[in-house]
Amino acid sequence: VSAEAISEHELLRSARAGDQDAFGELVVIHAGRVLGALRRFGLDSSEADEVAQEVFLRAWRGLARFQERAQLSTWLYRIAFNEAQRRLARRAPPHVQLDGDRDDPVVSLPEAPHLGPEAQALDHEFQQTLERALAQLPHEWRAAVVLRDIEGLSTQEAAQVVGARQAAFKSRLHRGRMALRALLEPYLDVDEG
Amino acid sequence: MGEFFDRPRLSRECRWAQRHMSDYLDGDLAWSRRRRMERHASVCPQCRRVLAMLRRMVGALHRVPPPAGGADARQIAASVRRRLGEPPPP
Repeated sequence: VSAEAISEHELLRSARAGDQDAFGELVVIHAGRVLGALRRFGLDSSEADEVAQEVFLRAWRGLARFQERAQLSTWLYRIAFNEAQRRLARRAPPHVQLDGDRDDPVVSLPEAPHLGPEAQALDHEFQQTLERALAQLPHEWRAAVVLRDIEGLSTQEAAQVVGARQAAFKSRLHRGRMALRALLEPYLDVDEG
Repeated sequence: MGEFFDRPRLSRECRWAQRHMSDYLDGDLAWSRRRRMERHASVCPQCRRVLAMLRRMVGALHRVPPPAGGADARQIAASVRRRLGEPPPP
């Protein structure tokens, strides 16, 4: 067990006993991750800031229900996912159009330099393209890709976050990845002989 | 959304392969299915290419940095700290 985990455990115990300072420290530890996930789920910057506060306020009110054998981060992702979905449900759903080249949504995007798996940092232009492609995915597929591939959760954790069985989650993840691959094809093309 | 999987030009084996590529990359396929995927990819340039692109894309997603802008963790913590005494919404 790492020192970080022990420290978080102590903070959590104090917070559950009503210590607001301890809870504030937990917010500092997890806020970046929650904000990042909210933005990646599809909220804009100011919405994400506002919803992140709601996430932590809900967590504070629900601390008594939190089971310590679960990861605090996974629980916070779950609250964040639910809050984000509530917001996103009010919008028109995104629609991926990949019927041949004529409607390919990435045709109009600028050319990207070759992206190798060995690259340590992503090209800024590719990042922007990726954001735009992610925004075109249905919310559930997008959340699956964000949680598993960007946030780095395991399949089991990510399925818990979205409240789905693992098989259903894996199906969303695969569909999301395949759709994203199709959207990003000009940037990912490889010579595989 | 079936267009990602069911293009008529794909053979049955291609469709099987493309439905299982995520599981393959995540190490979730049983040994016999892994072998089936690898055998197919070795003879099908189209599926080999799709698999290579998926692998490259997932690798790139792992390196996506946090979004820039917006509040930082301390600002959120300060705002939350001020609101902890608020009654829950109805």
